Amino acid sequence: MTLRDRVARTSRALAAVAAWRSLLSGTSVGVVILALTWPFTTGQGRATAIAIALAAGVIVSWWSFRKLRGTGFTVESVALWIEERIPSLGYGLVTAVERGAPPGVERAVAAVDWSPVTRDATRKALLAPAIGFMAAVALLAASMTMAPAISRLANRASPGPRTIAGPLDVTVRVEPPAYARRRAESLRNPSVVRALVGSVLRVNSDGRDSLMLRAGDQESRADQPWRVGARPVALQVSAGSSSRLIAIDPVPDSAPAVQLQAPPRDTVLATPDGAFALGADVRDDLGIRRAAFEYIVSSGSGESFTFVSGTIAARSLDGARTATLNGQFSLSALKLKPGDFVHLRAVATDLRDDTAAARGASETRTIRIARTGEYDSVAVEAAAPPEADKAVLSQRMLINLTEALVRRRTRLSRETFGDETRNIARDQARLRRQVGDLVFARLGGDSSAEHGSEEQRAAMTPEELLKAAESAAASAGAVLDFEGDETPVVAVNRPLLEAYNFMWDAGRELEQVAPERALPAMYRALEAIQRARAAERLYLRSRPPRAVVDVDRVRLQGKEKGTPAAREPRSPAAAVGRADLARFARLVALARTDAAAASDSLLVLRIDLLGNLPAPAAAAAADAADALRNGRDATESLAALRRSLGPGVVASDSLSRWRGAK
Amino acid sequence: MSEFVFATAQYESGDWDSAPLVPANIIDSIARYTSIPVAPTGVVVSLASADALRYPFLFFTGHLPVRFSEAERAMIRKYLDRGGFLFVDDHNHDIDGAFHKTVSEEIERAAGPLVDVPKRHAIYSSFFSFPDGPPNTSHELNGWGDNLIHRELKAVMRGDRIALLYSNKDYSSEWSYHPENKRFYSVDNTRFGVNIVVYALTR
Repeated sequence: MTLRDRVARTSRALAAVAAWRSLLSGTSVGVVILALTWPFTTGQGRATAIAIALAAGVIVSWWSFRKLRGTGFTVESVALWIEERIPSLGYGLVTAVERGAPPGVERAVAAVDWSPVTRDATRKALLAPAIGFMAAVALLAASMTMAPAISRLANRASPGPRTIAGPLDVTVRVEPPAYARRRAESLRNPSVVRALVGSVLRVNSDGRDSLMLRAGDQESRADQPWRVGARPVALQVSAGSSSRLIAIDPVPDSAPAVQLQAPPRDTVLATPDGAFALGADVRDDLGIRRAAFEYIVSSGSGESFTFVSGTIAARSLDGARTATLNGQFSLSALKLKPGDFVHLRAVATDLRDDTAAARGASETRTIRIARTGEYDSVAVEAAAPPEADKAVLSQRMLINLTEALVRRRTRLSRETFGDETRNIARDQARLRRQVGDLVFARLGGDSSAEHGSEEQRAAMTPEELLKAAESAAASAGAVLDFEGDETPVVAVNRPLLEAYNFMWDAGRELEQVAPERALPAMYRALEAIQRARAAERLYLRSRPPRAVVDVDRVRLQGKEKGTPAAREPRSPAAAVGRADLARFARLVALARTDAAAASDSLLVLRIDLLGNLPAPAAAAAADAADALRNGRDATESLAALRRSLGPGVVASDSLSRWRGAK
Repeated sequence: MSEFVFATAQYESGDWDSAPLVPANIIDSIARYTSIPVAPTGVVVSLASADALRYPFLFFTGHLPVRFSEAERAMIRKYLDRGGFLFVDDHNHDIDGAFHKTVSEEIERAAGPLVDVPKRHAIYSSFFSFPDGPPNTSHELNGWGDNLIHRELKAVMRGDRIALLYSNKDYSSEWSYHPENKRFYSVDNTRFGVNIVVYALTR
């Protein structure tokens, strides 16, 4: 290879280095421009930014190459460049290349190796542009990653109206929960997405990988699925400064609707034998998992009850939307006893997990097994008998007081003894009147038989009064359909009549200050009351006994004093109020200047009011949002929405501070 | 100011009238300890009727299984949402009893989840102070029902307010006596009833 050939090869190498250096410089400039504009551009804006970056890169590369090349990489200039870096050549190389040197000089020059000089120059020329290029690429990567955050910061920093760089085209794929057995669907640029609670939304926008989803405090990347919760949300899909607001309307999975067809009504059965048919209709919006009849048997009375529960005719329905459930309830199999209650209902669960929300139940039917002899006891009253006035001293208490008085007799003066005996006599008389009320109420239908006509009875002796009572019993028995020679009412109340009689005896002895002689009658009165208490009483449920409190007499007579706590105002209830109407008015005004912003505001208002809005109003709001976004006339939808919002509600808290007890 | 009327809730299933003297007893206590204007007798109001909305406080008790009708369920929801206070007491005092099982299921379905009422809740200091939480009943102390002393009451909340108070302590038995017989008690056991009513009327 001649010297000229070697220099020509070095020349090409240097030209290549210059080209690479220029390319790296230009590319770095382009990448930096792209990195700086990435967070603030999207769609068309970003395409423009890419074009500008490309042009800038080309221009810088070209300019740099031109500058590096200078007059060009000729063999002579490269030989001179080598001579500058290896002075020992003594211009021999230039001479040899230009004119041809003497053979001795040429051999000496040929022996010199200038490739280290070339390598060193190459390293120096490419190192800085390469580092710059890598830094630019790193800047671009950081910019792309942090684009949403930078965009938000930029939006926050600018107090002016939010500007949307361009409409964001999105596709929302709605995947219902697996148990619903429904197909997924894709929606293009939706304003409102109605999806079953638990559905998964997948949002994409022409393959953009920087798509962000945000609703309230919740934020995620679009490649993460978005799960639909129970509350409506405004989902903001954003990429850079472009965004789209989508209202997510959750559709709750309803619990199964269950209607019990048989037995059709509450029933009283005479005997606990045989069986009766059960029937129920079940329907569900998605599908029914299983259904059954459920029963509870209550046995007992008063304060003592026992319960047995179970299911009948359980069926697995494997997702059917409607079903009919049939079965039989065997009274004999459950060994029911007279007086037992059976509470029956049909229940069903839908395809969700077996949670309370997935369970539906029908109305409950009550089947009662009649008590023994119940059908003979038609003389029962429609209401519970009024309870005795518990303000009076009981017969047992009167006996205790009398016995104590008798024991203390020797220590008391005659006058004190007489006073205390007469006090007991008055209490005995009061109790007797109460018992008399019960007796006469039952027999004569007059609940205040004794003291209601006190004057009339004052003239009667106890024997006459008792005779009148028995006469009333006889007349009552005559008109009622009783069996045997004794009415059930009399059977219940005869002990009370006896007690009433013995109370008269006891009272008479007490009035005569002879408590010892009163005690035997009092004992027998107590025995009679106990028998009456143990007797079976039958009554249908109706009005409870009426107790009237003498409020004025007891007002602030309590021995203990409480301290009223400070009254706290309640938090206001949410409703469509004036504030919401004002929001509506603002968004209507905004629609004239910024339809996209008005559309977003409308969707957010719709989300806030969804619980209070009727379905047509919600649909009108969605229509109006769509129309505003797509440049159509939204007047009709907005007017419909405004009508459903109604007039403004004026709320005022007029509650005064409660001052408590005075 | 209109006077407070003690209203007992009447429902289709179960024995809603099992504690007939509780209203008179609580009315007596309200008059005895506070200056709240109070009607001398209680009223009975159907839980399915809109009449329930006329009363800020409803008393609900029974022994038997409770199954609400749709109308009752809807009215309970409406009543609580509109600021009413429903006091539900298990007359059985038995957590395994059918009343407890059914009524708690129905409450959760109609009104929302039942949560424990902490011992420092305002209802324990709204008038009388009960630093240890709900007062025990003689039925609990005697070992009746489930033989347990229930330390806490439960509630359905509306915001920070108790909308439904659920008791498993059998206050229905504890308070069902004629108010004149309070004179035989060294400590009036209906004082907590005053707290409940005062809380219902002032929160």
